[in-house]
Amino acid sequence: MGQSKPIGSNTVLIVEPEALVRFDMIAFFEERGWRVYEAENADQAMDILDERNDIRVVLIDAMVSGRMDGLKLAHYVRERFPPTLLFVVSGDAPVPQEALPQKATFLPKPFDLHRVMRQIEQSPVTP
Amino acid sequence: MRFRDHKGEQADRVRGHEWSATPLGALDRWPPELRTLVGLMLTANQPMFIVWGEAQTLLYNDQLRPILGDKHPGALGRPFLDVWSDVADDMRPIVEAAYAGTVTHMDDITLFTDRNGYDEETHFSFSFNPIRNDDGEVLGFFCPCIETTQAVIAARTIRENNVRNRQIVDSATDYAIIATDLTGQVTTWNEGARRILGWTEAEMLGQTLERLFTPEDRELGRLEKEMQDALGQGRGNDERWHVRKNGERFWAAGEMTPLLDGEQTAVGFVKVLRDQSVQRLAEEERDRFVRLAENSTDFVGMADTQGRVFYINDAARRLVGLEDADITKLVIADFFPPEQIEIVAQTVLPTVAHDGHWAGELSFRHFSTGELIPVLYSVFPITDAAGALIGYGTVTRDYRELKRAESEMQLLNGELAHRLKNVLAVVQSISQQTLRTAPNMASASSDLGARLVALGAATDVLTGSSWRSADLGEVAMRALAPHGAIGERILLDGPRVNLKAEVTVAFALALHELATNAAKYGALSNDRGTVTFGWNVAGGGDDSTLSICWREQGGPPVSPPQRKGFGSILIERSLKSYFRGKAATHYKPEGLSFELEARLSDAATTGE
Repeated sequence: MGQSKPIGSNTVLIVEPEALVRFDMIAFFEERGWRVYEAENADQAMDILDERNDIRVVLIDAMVSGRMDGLKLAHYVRERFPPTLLFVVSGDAPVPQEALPQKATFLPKPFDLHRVMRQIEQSPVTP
Repeated sequence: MRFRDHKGEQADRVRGHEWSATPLGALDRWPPELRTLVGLMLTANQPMFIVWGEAQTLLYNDQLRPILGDKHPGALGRPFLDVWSDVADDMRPIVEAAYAGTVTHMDDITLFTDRNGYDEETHFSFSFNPIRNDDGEVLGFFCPCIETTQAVIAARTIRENNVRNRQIVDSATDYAIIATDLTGQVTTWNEGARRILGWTEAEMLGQTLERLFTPEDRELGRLEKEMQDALGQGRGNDERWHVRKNGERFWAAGEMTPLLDGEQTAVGFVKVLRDQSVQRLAEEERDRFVRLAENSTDFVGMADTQGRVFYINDAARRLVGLEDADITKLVIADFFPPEQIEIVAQTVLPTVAHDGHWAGELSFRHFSTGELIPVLYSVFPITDAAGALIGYGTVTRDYRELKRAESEMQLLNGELAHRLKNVLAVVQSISQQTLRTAPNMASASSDLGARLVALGAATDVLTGSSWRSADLGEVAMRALAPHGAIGERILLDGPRVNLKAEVTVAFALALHELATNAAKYGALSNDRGTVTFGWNVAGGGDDSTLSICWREQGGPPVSPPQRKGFGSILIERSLKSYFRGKAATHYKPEGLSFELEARLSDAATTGE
């Protein structure tokens, strides 16, 4: 658990099954100098999380498929990598706050990437 | 002493009469014929009298005294016509005939006597028999009398009874009372029969009852059956349509019974019937209403003012699981779950009493499973003919289907919102990428417009299948049609493949980008190049593969681009991602080609 040290790194993991949407998000973060990892399902995302320990932001679509759904994956991330900035995205009805992991932000689809970026910039980089 | 041995008052009187003072002269000198006759008369025990000689002198016995009444005892020895002076004119011709030698019978003479101490009607027959001497000369006549009172009165009683019975039979004008012989020929036809059936008794006597029956019943031998039943079982049922003289049909109710003689032997039939047409029609009408309720697929029920249920139809029994149950112990509240009983008692029934109607959504409770059954419960009062409340009626509709449809609709709405948001997210990302990569606003605007049109065409195809799948050929045709005449410049060829909904939008966009590039630089940029777009399915089962091939011919010479635009990136990357397959673009000088290969199960839905 102690291996995570995403502090200060501009690395983002995008977990989004809809490729057309994912490409735009990738392009948005890359344009701003971020290192972007992409996954179209939970399994790919978990593989990446296992290998990388410098991911600061995780954006998860609640509709992803795989061993877990998006919400479970979000809890997994929060438990394994507590300092991670978590965003949960969904085109369905809003996920109630109590169902979300601690300090996760719910974004109804479609959402504004510029606002996400502002929120990331304002978040304190905690040790 | 003559007649010495004869007993009785008249014997005494004959012996004591002073005959010598009469034309007959002294007893001893009477001719032997007279003496013999008088002796016979005095010993007879039936009334007798003798009229003798030219003076027509009357002699009579004790038995005749009641007939003489107060003419006795003075009548003895007096001239016959003097004694009967009150009827002398009637008697004289007969007396004269007797003296002329003619016998006269009078069968029924009515006399009122008081022989038993009261006035009494009596009947006698008389026979005036001339008595001749040896020379054939009529000396007088002898008359034995026979009382016929009993026979006459019995005959009269029978006659009167017949008349009275006929009057009784005829007075039953609402009933046709018909008697027949054993062959069914009419012997009696009362007034009721005339009124109900139309024929008079004269028209029907001797006729068979066949004509009262409908042709169908005649065909079926109903009359014979009725008569057989009457003989065999004592009665034959008569409830059926009958025919009047005017051909009109009416519903008759009655029966046929055998007509028995004194020895209990059947000698004919009695058929009694009533015209029940009005009642029958009322019954049929009532029956139709019963059928209406019975056959309704809605729950139809009735309860009395105390809420005790007394009727529910079959649909109701099925709905709440009371198929063969006894419903008479049930009350309205039994049909509802506990939490709704109060609504029924506090709101529904008072509203019905006040407003005459209540309707709303409630739930019934299934009697065996306890399942709650959503219903549209509609209640109204039932009144008698005078308007008094006798209970409550309900026609209640099973709302389960509607409720299911409603929740399905909600589900669909949610699904629709979800798809709409996903499409918006796709539109958002396409727009962002178009704007990000466009050299200027004009080009961004036109590229974005065309891409959104392609996206719209793809969603059209999806909407046609409720967003389940899309026919590959149709998606291709719609995406490519804006870029060149299908069948001339753009040739499509491939089997029917139903693309998964998830890949359809990206597929349409990729085709759009390919065609856009062809129109700018490739086979569609001049007026003779062609594009062949073909697809194929190879292999079987889980290993089936889908190959797609875009090949341009007849365009300007091709060289690889200096830099790939968003369109080209979109084609390869997105198709690789959505189809989980291999994609490659070849920039051959004779024309660009693009190939994609994927597992069929990743690209298409199976079945259909």
